[in-house]
Amino acid sequence: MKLIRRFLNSSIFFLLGDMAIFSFEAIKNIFSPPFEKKETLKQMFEIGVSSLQVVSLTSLFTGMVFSLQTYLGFKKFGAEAYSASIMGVSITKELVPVLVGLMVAGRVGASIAAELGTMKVTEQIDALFTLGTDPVKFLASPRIIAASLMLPVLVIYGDVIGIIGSYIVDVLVMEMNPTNFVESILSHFEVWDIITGLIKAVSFGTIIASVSSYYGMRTEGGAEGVGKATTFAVVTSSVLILVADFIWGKILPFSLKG
Amino acid sequence: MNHIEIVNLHKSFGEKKVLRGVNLTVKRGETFVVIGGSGTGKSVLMKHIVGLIKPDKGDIFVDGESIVKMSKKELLKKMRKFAYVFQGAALFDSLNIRENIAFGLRRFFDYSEDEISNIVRESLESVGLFDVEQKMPSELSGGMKKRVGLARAIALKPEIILYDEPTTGLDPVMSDAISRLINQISEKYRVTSIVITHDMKSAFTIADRIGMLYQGEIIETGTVEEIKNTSNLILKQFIEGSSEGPIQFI
Ligand SMILES: Nc1ncnc2c1ncn2[C@@H]1O[C@H](COP(=O)(O)OP(=O)(O)OP(=O)(O)O)[C@@H](O)[C@H]1O
Ligand SMILES: [Mg+2]
Repeated sequence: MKLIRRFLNSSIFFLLGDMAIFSFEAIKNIFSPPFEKKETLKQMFEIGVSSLQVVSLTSLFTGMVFSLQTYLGFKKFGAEAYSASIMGVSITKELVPVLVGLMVAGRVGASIAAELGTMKVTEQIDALFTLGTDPVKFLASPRIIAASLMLPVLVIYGDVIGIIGSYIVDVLVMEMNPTNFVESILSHFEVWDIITGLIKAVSFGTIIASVSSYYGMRTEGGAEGVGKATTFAVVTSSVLILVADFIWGKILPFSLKG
Repeated sequence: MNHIEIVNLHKSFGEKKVLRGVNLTVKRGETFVVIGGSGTGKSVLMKHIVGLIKPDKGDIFVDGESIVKMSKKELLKKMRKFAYVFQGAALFDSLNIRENIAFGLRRFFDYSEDEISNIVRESLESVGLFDVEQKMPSELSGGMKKRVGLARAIALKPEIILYDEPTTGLDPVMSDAISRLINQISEKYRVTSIVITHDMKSAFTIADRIGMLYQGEIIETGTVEEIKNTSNLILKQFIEGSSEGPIQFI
């Protein structure tokens, strides 16, 4: 009995449970006044600006390399004219949301965990509390709203850049006819593909900010602890993003057209 | 009347028993000084008083209300009565000095910006700092940060001030000035104060009563005179700052 309890207390179930309780509290706090508008806007700006570069590069090169492989693969069957139609769907549904999610987990998740972790070990989080401020509401909630609003924006932007990357390869390198490229992309494309990507993006943003705030605010043990919190934040959010992506893939319909 | 009452407080971290039945009462308007060796749990004890740490056993009453049983929401409301001077100052890195001090003022009260500016300036002047409002914490020395931490607490004019080593790391002159300031504040606003310190000179300047934390318990309390004339060997050794005596080093 004791052994089982010890296992549960130290195990991944306990950790995930604790994290879920934390996230639930932080998300609940988003909807109760006072609203931390200033802090939220500041975080949105920071997440957007700090991620723009890495999102641009990731989306561009993913679009390019994926187009290259698809084009060459389809060419084997003489079906290279259809390769762009696959691209529209896979970029907006899978590639860009997941890769943007992972990149932002590395970029923003790490910085949230390091910032809050430093605040924890220097007693700034305790100080917030004694100044009548709920640290979860003041620090975690604004970061969760900011991330879950900014991720879809970054994903839309990434979609555009990814398609541009695809255009560069198909049209400029492989010399596909531009009109064929556009027609091919539009032939199998539906708005639902983009919406699927955006639903995922909102959930990935929530995962990144709540997991990273959780590790940051639970940091113990000085500079070393901050380093550990940062690593755990990035690894855990990345894994959870991939798990969530699979779950969405399972529950969201592939297409809304019959 | 007892303002703060600590009853049989126990706290362990893992296997390590830090507090093993602390009992302590502090009267309204009194300045109580807690002395004790490094790592004996003084800061841990202080954090229990504002509910930052929950005890394993025991209770804490402020104005007769249990801090331990309060919900987070009730505690946050109660914080208006408290100010806490942290051992490491705990200034907010991302805010300048003015905003650090204004933070609590904005949370708890409805002051205008002009009133806030005045309070910020006055409280900084009272700790001997001038023209630092626009500086960031990273631009200040350790001792200056410490004094800003003090200014942030006194700006709130609370009922209870908890000072965690307010004079450690300050030069002797500044240290004496801060001890006097603590006395002034306690007389002027009749605040209840609990002060943690290693600095016996400061302790004797500010204390109404002194208690020593040793091996997880308050082993003796008394007025300054009583403590100076104690027959307790542990206490005696600590006051004299001698490494020879019953206090063991592990
Ligand atoms: N969150 C924590 N987790 C684990 N151990 C802790 C924690 N906080 C404090 N401790 C331990 O409790 C003991 C008492 O710590 P505390 O900070 O209260 O000492 P202190 O009396 O304030 O010492 P100092 O005079 O050096 O500030 C130390 O051994 C410390 O390692
Ligand atoms: Mg301490």
